[in-house]
Amino acid sequence: MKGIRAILAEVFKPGLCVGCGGCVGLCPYISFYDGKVIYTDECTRDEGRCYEVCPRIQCSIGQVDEEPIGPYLAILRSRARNTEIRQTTQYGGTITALILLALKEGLIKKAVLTSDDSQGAPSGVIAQTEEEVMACSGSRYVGAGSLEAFNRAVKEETIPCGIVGLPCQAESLRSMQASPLSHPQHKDSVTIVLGLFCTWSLDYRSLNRFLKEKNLKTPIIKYDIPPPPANVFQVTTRDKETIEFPLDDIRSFVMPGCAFCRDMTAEKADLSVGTVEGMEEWNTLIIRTKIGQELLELADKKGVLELEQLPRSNLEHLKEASLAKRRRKPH
Amino acid sequence: MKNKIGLDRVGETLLLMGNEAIARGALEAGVSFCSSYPGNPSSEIMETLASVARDLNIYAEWSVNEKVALEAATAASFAGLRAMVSMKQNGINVVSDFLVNLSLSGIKGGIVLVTCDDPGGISSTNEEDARFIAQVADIPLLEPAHPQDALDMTRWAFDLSETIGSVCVLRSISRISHTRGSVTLGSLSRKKRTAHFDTSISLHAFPVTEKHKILHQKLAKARELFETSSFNSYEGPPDDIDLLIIACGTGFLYAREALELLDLTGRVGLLKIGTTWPLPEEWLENHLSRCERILFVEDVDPFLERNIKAFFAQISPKLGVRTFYGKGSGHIPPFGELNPDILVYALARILDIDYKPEDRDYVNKAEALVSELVPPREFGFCPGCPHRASFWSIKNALKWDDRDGFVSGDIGCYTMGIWPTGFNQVKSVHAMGSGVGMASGYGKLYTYGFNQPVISVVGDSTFFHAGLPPLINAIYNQANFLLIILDNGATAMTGFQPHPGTGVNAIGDRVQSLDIASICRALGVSVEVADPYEIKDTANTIYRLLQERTGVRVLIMKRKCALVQKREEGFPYRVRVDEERCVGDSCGCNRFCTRVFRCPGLIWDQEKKKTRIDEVICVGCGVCTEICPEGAIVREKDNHE
Ligand SMILES: Cc1cc2nc3c(=O)[nH]c(=O)nc-3n(C[C@H](O)[C@H](O)[C@H](O)COP(=O)(O)OP(=O)(O)OC[C@H]3O[C@@H](n4cnc5c(N)ncnc54)[C@H](O)[C@@H]3O)c2cc1C
Ligand code: SF4
Ligand code: SF4
Repeated sequence: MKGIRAILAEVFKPGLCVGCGGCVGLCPYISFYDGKVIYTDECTRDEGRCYEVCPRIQCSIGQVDEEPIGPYLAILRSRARNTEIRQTTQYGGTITALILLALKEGLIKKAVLTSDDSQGAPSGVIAQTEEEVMACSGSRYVGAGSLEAFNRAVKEETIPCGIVGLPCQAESLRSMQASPLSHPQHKDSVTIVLGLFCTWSLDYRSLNRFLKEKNLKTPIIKYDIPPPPANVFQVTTRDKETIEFPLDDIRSFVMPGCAFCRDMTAEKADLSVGTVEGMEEWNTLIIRTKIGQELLELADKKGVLELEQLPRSNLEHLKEASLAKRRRKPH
Repeated sequence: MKNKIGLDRVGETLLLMGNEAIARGALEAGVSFCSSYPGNPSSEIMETLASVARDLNIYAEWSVNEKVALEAATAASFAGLRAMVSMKQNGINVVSDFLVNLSLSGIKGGIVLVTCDDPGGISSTNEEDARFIAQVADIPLLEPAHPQDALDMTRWAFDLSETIGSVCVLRSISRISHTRGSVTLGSLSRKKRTAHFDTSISLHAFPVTEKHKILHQKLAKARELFETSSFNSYEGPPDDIDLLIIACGTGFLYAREALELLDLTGRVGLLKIGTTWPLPEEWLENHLSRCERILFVEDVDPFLERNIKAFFAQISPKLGVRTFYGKGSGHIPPFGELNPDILVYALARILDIDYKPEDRDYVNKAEALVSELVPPREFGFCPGCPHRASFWSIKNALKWDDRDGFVSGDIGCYTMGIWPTGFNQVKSVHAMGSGVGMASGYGKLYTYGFNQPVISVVGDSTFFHAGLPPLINAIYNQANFLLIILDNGATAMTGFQPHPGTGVNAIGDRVQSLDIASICRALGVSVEVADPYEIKDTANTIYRLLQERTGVRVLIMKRKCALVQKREEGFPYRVRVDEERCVGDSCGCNRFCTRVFRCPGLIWDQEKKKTRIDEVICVGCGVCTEICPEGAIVREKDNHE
């Protein structure tokens, strides 16, 4: 077991932190500020939870000969039946619909989501009401440190939580659950983990500087990368204006730590959700665990989601993309 | 009379600090105008004079800086009054530009310029030997060896200054300024002077060469007077000595002590010289002929040593060969404070004496015993000091910013930002206001790839002293940095002397207070004000200001010095640690409060593995309650208030 010194040497110094937020809020030494995880003061302990939860260190996914999309029970395509939800969500609104359901049915007491802080930087959010959940819909293609909100939510006591996160965040949560150093309320509060597909994510500060230079004043509420051959990066502002930039302009903002990630489909989640190429109104949905399955059955029963077979070509394409990430060599 | 110093009791003996003796000397000389900028070890001179100023009807001011202090005093001199200016060694550098011109123009009423040097840098950023100024400015220099000397020399220095028409320098050092000794008082001057500037003359440096020539004539006059000065004396056997010691300042008493200790009073002569520039050459020549071996004893630079050696080069054809010992020969170090020990070893070496200090065993035992009783101490801010809180926020903002930013420091309590008490944030410190000047330079390096944010911190008193010109420079030249003015409403470092922002003057009158924020705004820069104790908001503000890259931005961190606050209205809280919540050194805290924040009011209880509050020294500022990750440090309203 190791501590902060190892993280410093292996993750922070080489610039490999991807901002999952797993270590943030466990102690006063690491904080998430203006879209970045920062080590502020020197801790001298030889072992720590920071090391235990860091997905850049505790990396269990990624053998090329494994199933490229990880273990699963079923794969479907899905979307929220309520079209109002779909107005603001990224694609089919599966995530938002499932979180709202879990809160309403009392499966979870708090949802750990991602939104923006008052300064426009991404940040974790503890959501309990419909309004709060809706405010988090849409993808911010940046490392958002949102697990900090989980650590904050369960600081005092065990509270059933539903956590929405990227593959690295799902990995971090599972490492945290497995670590002997973790506090019981952290382990016991992880109730449902909803994972998002992810190819890479961007460094918020670099992106923000770029957008500022492009004179974008109003906050961005949505980011998207339409499927190839578009080769563009789209941002939607609060004034509902969508602006496109060449994808190559922002490629340099991809976090270097993402190059080490072998997981595109959030293999450690209970349910993983992504896009369905060419069908913006839908999500690809991977059911991985019993917990995930039960939640989905409930959603079906309550008529929250529309569920259909995922077209074969899409599944194949997903596996190809996933394998490509598995084979990625860090530059 | 608030201070016995002002009493007219001729012949009475008082136990006086060297600085008080200097003040008394000035009063006995009939000083009318006193000005100073605070700085250890000189501050008590002005404080003493200010305390009797009203009763004795003299003028006393804390000036904005040393140069202005001398300029103001010169006005009094030109109008026929006697004036005294006191400062620490650093101040001499500040006055030098004015002084070298003033010595050419000459003066009317006597001016005594007191420099209190600080060998060992006990309360200074350097241990500069300020005596050089006497040679640069071609003016006479006196060096007292003890408090009585200090009084007598100061009084006489006014006569000398007036007689020759030059400023006279008196050099004290920490060990004289702050040592108490019995001092016999003389009478207070009864001479009443009226101030008037004689417009039939004009005082300036022109024609330069002619005035320079006159200046040397004045020096020659001073030399003549020094030949018979009672401040110079010889003690020891009249002839047949093995060594002659030439000493000035505290060196004289240390030498006496060393000679007694080694039982050398019958073999070694001791020459005390109080008039160290220009040298009383004839008097010296007589004594130099006593012996072929000479040892120089003086603090810091080999000032006397070099000058006497140079003088000896002229007379050596007459006197023959001499062997000189001192800083040049390596027997006395040209740095650090002098002490009797150094002299004992030097003497033993020169005279080949087998000297064994105290029993080593005994010393070791004594040291071990004492070290148990003395708690380890490091330079640190007081409990509740707003500077600690300010540096906490600065540190966080710079860390969050993550561009390897740093602090360009300045002179004041907050200089301690170079140490852990200020989280090692300050990366350079030099002279008053220099941190701002340097930031103004860093702020122009962006075209060379420099992208580190720079914060300049300057205190309120330092801001007035020398912070304004570099700020104006930075604004004019469009430099890019964040200026943080740590406004604690006092010249705290040197003992809470008032300054232009405090609304009080040296003698305690209420006067107009100059508002730093308004001054900066008038210079056309954006100014924000923050409370250091609000560590979260303040750090956010600093971070935000660091992101703006638009020239100079000013943030005033305003909060009274904790010592003043304690005296005036006290602190609102009673702070305690909830032991149940404190997680101590386990993962999640690792003694964040006592190990990182380090207010001395917080104590790590080794046995309980918990933090507790040292109720004796905690002032109840409540800042630490904000930094504990567990909310274990709690503040309660103090009902005792
Ligand atoms: C950085 C990033 C990269 C992605 N890359 C891909 C990809 O390559 N291929 C693909 O198919 N899908 C990708 N996705 C997922 C996709 O954008 C959608 O989030 C997903 O399909 C769910 O859609 P939805 O309509 O259900 O979303 P919604 O119902 O709108 O819910 C989106 C949820 O995402 C959460 N969220 C937003 N931003 C972040 C963030 N930065 N970190 C963690 N959680 C966040 C919010 O809390 C919200 O609850 C990515 C998402 C992110 C955030
Ligand atoms: S910061 Fe808080 S929890 Fe940590 S040692 Fe201090 S009082 Fe205890
Ligand atoms: S309240 Fe805390 S920070 Fe303030 S003086 Fe007491 S121990 Fe120090």
